[in-house]
Amino acid sequence: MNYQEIVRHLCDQGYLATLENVSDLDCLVVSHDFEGGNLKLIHFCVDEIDCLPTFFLGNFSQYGNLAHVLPLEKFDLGSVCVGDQDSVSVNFEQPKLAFQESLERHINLLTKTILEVAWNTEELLREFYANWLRICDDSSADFICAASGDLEEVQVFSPVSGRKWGFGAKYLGITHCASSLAEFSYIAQQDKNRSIAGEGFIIPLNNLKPAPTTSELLGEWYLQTIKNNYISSKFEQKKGKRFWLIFNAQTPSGRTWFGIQLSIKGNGKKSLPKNEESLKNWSISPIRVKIFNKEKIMPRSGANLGLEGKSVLMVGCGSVGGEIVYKLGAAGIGNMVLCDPDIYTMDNIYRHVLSDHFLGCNKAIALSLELDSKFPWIKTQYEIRKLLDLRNTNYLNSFDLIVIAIGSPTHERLFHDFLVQNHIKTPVINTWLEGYGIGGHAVLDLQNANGCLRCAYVDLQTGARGLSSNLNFLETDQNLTVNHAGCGELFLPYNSVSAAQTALIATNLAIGTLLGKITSSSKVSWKGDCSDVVSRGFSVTHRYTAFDKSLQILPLYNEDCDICHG
Amino acid sequence: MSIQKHFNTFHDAIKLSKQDDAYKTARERDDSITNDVRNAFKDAGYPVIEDFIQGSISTDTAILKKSGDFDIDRAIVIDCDNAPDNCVKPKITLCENVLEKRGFQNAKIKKPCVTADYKSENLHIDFPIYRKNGAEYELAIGKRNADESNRKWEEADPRGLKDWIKDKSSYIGSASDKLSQFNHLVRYLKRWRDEKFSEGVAAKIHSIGITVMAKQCFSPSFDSDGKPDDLIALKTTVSAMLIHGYFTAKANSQYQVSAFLPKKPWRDIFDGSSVNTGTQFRNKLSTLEGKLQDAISETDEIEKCKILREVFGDDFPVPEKSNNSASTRKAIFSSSGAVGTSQGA
Repeated sequence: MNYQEIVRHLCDQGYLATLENVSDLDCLVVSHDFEGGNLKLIHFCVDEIDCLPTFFLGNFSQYGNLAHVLPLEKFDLGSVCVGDQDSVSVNFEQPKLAFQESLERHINLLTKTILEVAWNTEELLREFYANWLRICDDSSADFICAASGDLEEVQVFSPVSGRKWGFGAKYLGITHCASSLAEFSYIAQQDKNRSIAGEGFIIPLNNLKPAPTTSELLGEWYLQTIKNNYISSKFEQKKGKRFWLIFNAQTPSGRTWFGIQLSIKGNGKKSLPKNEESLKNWSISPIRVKIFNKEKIMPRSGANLGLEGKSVLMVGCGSVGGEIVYKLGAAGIGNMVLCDPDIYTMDNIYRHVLSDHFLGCNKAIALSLELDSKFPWIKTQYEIRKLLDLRNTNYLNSFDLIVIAIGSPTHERLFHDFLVQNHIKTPVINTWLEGYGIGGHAVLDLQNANGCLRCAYVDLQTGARGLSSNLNFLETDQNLTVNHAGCGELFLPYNSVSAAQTALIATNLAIGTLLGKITSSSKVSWKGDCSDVVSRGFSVTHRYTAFDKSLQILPLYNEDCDICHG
Repeated sequence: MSIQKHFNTFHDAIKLSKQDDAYKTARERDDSITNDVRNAFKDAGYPVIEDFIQGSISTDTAILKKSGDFDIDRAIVIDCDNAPDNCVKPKITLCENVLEKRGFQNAKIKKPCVTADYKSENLHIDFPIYRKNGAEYELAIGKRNADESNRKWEEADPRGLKDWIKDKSSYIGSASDKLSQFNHLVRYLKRWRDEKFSEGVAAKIHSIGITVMAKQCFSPSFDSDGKPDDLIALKTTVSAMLIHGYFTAKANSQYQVSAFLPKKPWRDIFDGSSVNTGTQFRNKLSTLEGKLQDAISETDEIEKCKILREVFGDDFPVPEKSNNSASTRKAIFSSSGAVGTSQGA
C-alpha cells in the first residue's frame, strides 16, 4: 500500500494528512477543523484494503457519548461505524479514492453527531441494542425470554448442562403471561429438564437512557433507569440472591429487549438495590436478551404473520411435497394437514428433505414431526390417505388452500371432477415436475374463476380433454421411467434441485393466493436444461422450445376448456 | 371458441383415413382385388413380392371428395428378375385376367397405372405396377399398345416419396404435432381446390403437386403454449408457395406452373400443364392468400368463419353466435385410452 501517494492525494483534496507513528504503529493521521472544534482521525496502516478504510476518532473522551462511536479499550480512541461494510464495494484498485471516500463519510458522521445533539441522542437510542451488546460478556449464555412485555415476574431456567447450541444452551425466562402462549409449549418441549436459576422481572421502560458505553458505567445507568421508570413496589420489596431484570423499551428501531443480572456479594438475600450504597452489595452484569414471541421472531426470520391463521391441506409428501411444506412452514403458515400413504425409504434419501432418521416412517408423519420441531408456531396433523380418499365436501371446504403434489394425472383429474361436481370453494394448486431436469409446473385453480385444472389438460391439437398436461415439456408416450429392479421399482429420474425448483413455484403461488395477491387462476412453469433429455433420445414439446416465461405467473384459462364453459 | 377449434371441426369433416368407416368398403374391395392380382401374377410367372398403399391415404393427407368418390392407389411390386422386359405386359394381365373377369367394363391401362372404377360404390382404384431390383423400384410406364419407344420401366421411389412427405425430422419440438398441422394444411388446400376450380381444371392441379409444394413451403404455426394455429400456418405457407418459384410469368399476365418430384424420377409433376391451369392456379392461390389474411385480421369469430366458409365451402362451420358469451360447451373426450406422461412429484 503506497501511503505516500494516499497522503499526497488527501492533501491535494485539502485535508491535513500526515504519516505518523502511534504506539509503535504506522498511522495515517488526518486533522480536520470544523465549526466549534477539531477532529483527529487515525488510520492504522494496512497492507491491503479489503473494506472501507477505518479511521479512529482521537481524544475520544472529550466528546462524551457519541452515536455510532464506541470506545476502544485502553486507548482514548473511538471506533467509528460509518455503515455496514458488507454493503459497500470498495475501489481497492484506487486506494487513494477509497481513503478519500471513507474520510468524507467519517467527517460527515462525526460532525453531525457532535453538532446535532438531538439527532445524536435519537441515534444512540436507535442503536441501543447494538451498544448494549458491546458491553455484554461474549462468553455468557443468551437469555431467551417468552413474554409479552408487560410488567410481570419471570421465572428463569438455567441452560441445560453440556449444551453448546440450540435453545438448551441458553437461559430461558417464562412469564405467567407467556405460559398461555403457544411459544411456551414449544420452548417447554425443547428441554424439560432445566433447573430453575432464579427469578426476575419484566420491566417496560418509558424513559430510556442511551446504553452505557462501558460495563463500568452500567451501575450508574441502572440506578438512573430504575429512578426514572415505574417498578412495582411488589418487585422492589422482593428479596433474593440473584435477580434478572429484563427491560423492554420503544426505540426508533422498534421495541428493544435487553437485561441485567444482579447477584449478591456474599450471603443472604436482599431486595433490589435502589441507590449507590446498596448497589455496592451486588455484582451487576449486562445480558443479551432474545425475545421469543411470534410478533418478533416470525417477521424477523422471514415469515409472514398474515399466514399464521391459514390452514393448508398438503397432499403428497414426496420430494416436491416435502419441499413445499418446508417452504410453507417457513412462510409462516399456521396450520397444515399433511397427507400421504407412502413410506420413506432409502430410494428417497438424496432427493427428499427428510433425514435418514425417518427411514421406514410414513412420510406425512415424518414431515409433521420435522415441521413441528423446526417452526415454533406451526400446528400440523397428518393423514395416511390417498388423494382420492379425501373426497369429502365439508373436509375440503375447511381449508384455505389445497396443494397436490402427487404426480398422478389420472387421480388429479378425478379429484378435480369431484371438486367441480361438489362446488368445493377451496383453491387448489396442482404441481408436478418432469424427469431429467427438464422443468416443473404449478397450476392454481381458484374456484368460481376463469381457468381450472382441466385448462392445463386441454389437448391443444384437438380441443378435447387431454390425458396429459399441455404444460408439459416432454412429449407423451415416451418410455421415460427407469427400471432397476422390475415392476414396482420404476422411477422417473430427477434430482432434488428439480424438486426444489418445482416446490418454489408452487409455494410462491400458494403464498400469493393465501395473501390475496393472486386472484385469478394461474399457471407457472420453470424450464430447465434439455441436454439429458436429448442425449437419451427423448422428444420435447413445442412449448418447451418456445417457452421463455420461466417463473412468471400466467393466466390458466384455456378458451377451449369445456369445464370452464360448462 | 377458438378459430382453431373451427378448423379442427372442418378438418374432421373433410379428412379421410384408413380407419374411417366410409373407407371400409373401399378397403375390402381393394383387398379382394389385390388378392386376385397376386394369383394372376403368380400364374403369369411374375409373382407379387409386395404391395402397399401409396398416395394420400398413406401420407394422411386424403380428403373426402365432395362427389363422395374414394381413390385408392395400390402399388403392385414384382421382382425384377421375373419381370417381363415389356412393362405393359403385367398391366394387361391385371386388366384382362383380373379386372375384366371381375366385371370391370371400364378398366383402363393408362400410362402410369391401371385403373378400375366401382361405380356402384364410388370407388376408383389405381394400380401402379413396379419391378424391384434390390431396394430400387421401377414403374411400368406405357399404354396398352405402346411401342418400345413409348414404354419403359422408369426409375421411381414411391416409398421414398412417402417418407419424404411424412418426414418430421426438421421440426423441432412437438414434431408430430407439426407434421399433423402439415397434413391439415394439405387437406385444406385440396378442399379449396375442389371448391374453387372447375372439375376439369381441378383434375390438373394434382394432389401430389399441392402436397409437394406445401411440404417445401410449410411454415408451422403454434402459440407459445403449443396450441396450433392452422390459419396462420396456412396463410404463411400459401404466401411461400406463391413466391417459391413454382409459377413462371408468361405474356399477358399468365403463368406456367411446375413443381418437381423430390424423389426419383424427379419429374415435373405439372409436365404438360397448360398456361390456363397455371394462371388459374396462381391467381386463385393469390386470392386465397388475401382471404386468409382477411380472416386473420377479422376479430369477430362469426365473420372470420364466414370468410373461411367462402374459401373452403359449406363444410367449414360458422357458429350461430360468438363463443365469447358464456355458452355451455359439450365435452370432447380424448380418443386415447391412456397416454404415458412425464409427470412426477
